Amino acid sequence: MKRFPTRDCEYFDDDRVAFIFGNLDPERALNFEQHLGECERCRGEVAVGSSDIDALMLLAPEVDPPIGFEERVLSSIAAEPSTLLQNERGQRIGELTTSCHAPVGRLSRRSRANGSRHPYRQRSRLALSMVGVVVIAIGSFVIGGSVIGRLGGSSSSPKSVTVHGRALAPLVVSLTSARSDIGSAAIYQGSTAWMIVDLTNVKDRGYVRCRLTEPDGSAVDLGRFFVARSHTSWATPLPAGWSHAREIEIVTSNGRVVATSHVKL
Amino acid sequence: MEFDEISPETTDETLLLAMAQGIPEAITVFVRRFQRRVYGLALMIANDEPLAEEIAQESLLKIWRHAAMYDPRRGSVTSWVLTITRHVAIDRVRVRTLPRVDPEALYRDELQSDNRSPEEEVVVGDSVEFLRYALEQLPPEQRRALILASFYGRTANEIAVDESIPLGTAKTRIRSGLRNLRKQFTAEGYLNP
Repeated sequence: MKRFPTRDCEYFDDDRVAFIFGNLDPERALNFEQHLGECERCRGEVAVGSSDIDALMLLAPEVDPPIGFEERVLSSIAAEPSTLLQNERGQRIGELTTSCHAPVGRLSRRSRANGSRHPYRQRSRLALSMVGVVVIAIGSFVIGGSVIGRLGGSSSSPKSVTVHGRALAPLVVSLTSARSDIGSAAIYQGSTAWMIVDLTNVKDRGYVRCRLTEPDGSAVDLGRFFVARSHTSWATPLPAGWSHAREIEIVTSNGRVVATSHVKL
Repeated sequence: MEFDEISPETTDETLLLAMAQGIPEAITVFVRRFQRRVYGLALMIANDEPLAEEIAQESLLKIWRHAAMYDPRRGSVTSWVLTITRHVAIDRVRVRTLPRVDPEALYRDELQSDNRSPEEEVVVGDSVEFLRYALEQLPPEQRRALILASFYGRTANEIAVDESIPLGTAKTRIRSGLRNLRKQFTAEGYLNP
C-alpha cells in the first residue's frame, strides 16, 4: 500500500474536506486518520464540519413510508440472532435474573400469542429483567450503598435482580432548584456508567445542558436535551472518573443553573 | 423514568438506551417515531421508492444493532439517526450509476418543505427554520456544492463534472460553503439539536 507522509495540515486540506463529507478514498482515509491521531487542529475541524453536515440532514423532508414498512422493519429486527446484553464495546456485562411482573408491550404480547420460541421473545425476557433493575433503581435514594429515602411511583415489585451474582444498586441523587426537588439523577455503575436524569415541575421550556462540576470548579459537559413537558427523562453515558465530580448541574443555554444535585457525589 | 412506562412521550435518548437493552416497546416506539424521517431522507437521496425502502430498513436495523454506541455528547439522536441513514443511502446509491440531480430544485422543493409532524416541529422546528436561513445566506454556487456533497456524497471531481467547472473551483466552492455555513452557525449561536 502506498504511504503518504505525515505533513502539515495544509497537505491534508482536500482530504480533510472529503473526510468530513464521508467520500474520501479508503487508502487516503487511512493516512488522514493517522494524521488525525496526531493533529488536534484537524480533529477539531473534522468534528465541527461533520456536526454541521449532520445538522443539514434535519432539512430532509419527512415522508410516509409504504404501507407495511413498520411491520417489515420490526420483523427484520425480530429475525436477528438473539444477543446477550452488551455494552458499547460489545462486551457481555451480565446476566440478569428476576421474577418481576412488568407490563409487556405489543410485540412481546404478539410473540406470546404466537406461542413461538422466537429470539425476540428471549430478548423480551431479558428486557423485562432490565425493567426490574430500573424499577428497583428508581425506587430508592441510595448514597454510597445506603438507602436514604424512597421515590414513589414504582408499578411493580421485583423480588431479586443480580448482575454477575451481585445486586445492581444505583446511586440516586435529588436535583433541586431553590431548595425544591425538581427531579433526580440515577447513576448505574458498571463497566460503563450511565445516568438517567428525571425532571419534573421545571417551569422553563427549551434546551438545557447537563454537566458535572469537578472539585476544581471546572465543568464536564455531558450533553444537551430538550425540556418540553412537565416530565422529561434523559439518559447519558458518564465519562471515566465521574465519581470524582462534585455535583450535577442542569443549565440553560444562557448559563443559568436550573437544577443542581444537593448531595455531593 | 421507568422502562415499563415507555410511550410516545419517552425522550429519544432514553428510547435508545432502552433499545440497547432490548426492550421491545422501545423498539416499536423508536421505529414509529423515526420511520418518516429515515424514509424521507432515503427517498430524497435515492429518488427511487423501492431502493429508499431498502435503505430505510437497513438504516433502522443498523441503528438498532448499534444503539449502545450512541454518545449524546456528539449530537442529538435525530442527527445520529440521519447520519447513519445518509451513509447507508450514499453507499447504496453509489453502487449504481450516479443519478443526475438538480441541487437547486432539491433545495427549493424538498429542503424548504414543511411536511413535518407536530411532534417533530416541537423538537426541530426552530432548527429547521434556522438551517434554511443559513443555507439561504450562502452564494448559490456554494449552496449547490454543499448540497451535492452532503446529501449525495458527491466528490469534488463529480461536482466538477456535474457543474461543468474546473476541479479546483469545485473544491473551493465546497470548502467555502462549509466555512460560510459554520460562520452562520457561529454568528447565530446555533447548536445542533
